[in-house]
Amino acid sequence: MQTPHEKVDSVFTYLGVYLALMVLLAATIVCAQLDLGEGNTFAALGIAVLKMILVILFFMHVRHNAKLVWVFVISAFLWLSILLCLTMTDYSSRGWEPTAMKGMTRGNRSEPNQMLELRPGFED
Amino acid sequence: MAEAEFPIVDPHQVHFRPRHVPVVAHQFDDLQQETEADTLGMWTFLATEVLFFGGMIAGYTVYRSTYWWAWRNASVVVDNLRFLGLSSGAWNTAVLLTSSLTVALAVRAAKMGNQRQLLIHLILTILLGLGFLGIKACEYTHEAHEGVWPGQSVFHPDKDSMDQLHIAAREHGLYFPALLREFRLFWCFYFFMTGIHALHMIIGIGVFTYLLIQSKRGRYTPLKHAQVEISALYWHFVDLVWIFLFPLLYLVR
Repeated sequence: MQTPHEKVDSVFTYLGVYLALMVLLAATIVCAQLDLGEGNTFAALGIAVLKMILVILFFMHVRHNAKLVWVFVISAFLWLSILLCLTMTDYSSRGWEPTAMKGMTRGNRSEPNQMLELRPGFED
Repeated sequence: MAEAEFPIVDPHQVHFRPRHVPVVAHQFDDLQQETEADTLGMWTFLATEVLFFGGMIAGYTVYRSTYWWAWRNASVVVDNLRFLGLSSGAWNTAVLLTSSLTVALAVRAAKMGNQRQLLIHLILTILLGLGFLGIKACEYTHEAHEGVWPGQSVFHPDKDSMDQLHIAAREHGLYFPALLREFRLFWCFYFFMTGIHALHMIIGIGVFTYLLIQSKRGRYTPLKHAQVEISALYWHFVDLVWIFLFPLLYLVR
């Protein structure tokens, strides 16, 4: 009952991918509890990329699709990376400092900074 | 086209019963070409969506790298609603991943011509989508009570979190009102990104309700189910966006 040009995956393929996605979700939650410093961001985003690849290849059937579809998918993320990279090369070279933590860097963040007194009340 | 490949002699002459639509539209040579065009068209739209969300993510990255200390704490404030020990964001990720599974199984049922399974999986998908929006509504209500919404002038979370923030700010010698403005910037990104994602979810639920009605009328056959297939691509894409929003907004550490 299926057309010759379409591949139909078995239910177990989908269940296996789903299981892998849930394991990765558990891994993200566990990683967020640990203190890995800068590693937290990379771990969380790395796991998100893995999940994305699983969803695109298996759930969205890109692995069965024509090469032209691959080109479109990859170009979408290529352009996204150009957007992020060029934006960050600009902003990271401007030397902006956060208003609430002037003079503070990641290196000396535990040192006391006496620039401003803490005021009572929390209204903006 | 070899006859051995296709059981049908000329698909242009095969009409789809209810409205007498040809199985293959006249501008295509065969079904394979039509399916490829459908998929490619949907991916073109999804590529524009990647860049649409990408603009927000670029803005987010700039401010997160600048206000990293404040944003880490602002994210903890957003992540503090819990159900059964797990944060609401984690629950929502699980709900959406499950809905992606039911969507994939719905497409499989449509390809196999299994009407009953198609209906069941479409209904499950819509219910999971509504579940996602329900959890999101709980979060938004909770955040309104804490004064996190854009436009709310007084931030008043529970006493424990407030004390923690106060102590942390004092330890680092930070000026609290300025810190609060950086918090509010994070919360603005949080509401816009999750809000636009929720809008995509609402549209997705609408599309799937349409699919449900059409499949009840028996409009999808193993030969003609492009609507199910490309709507599924859209749903999976909305899931993908959430896969990134979850670590970006809830797990800043």
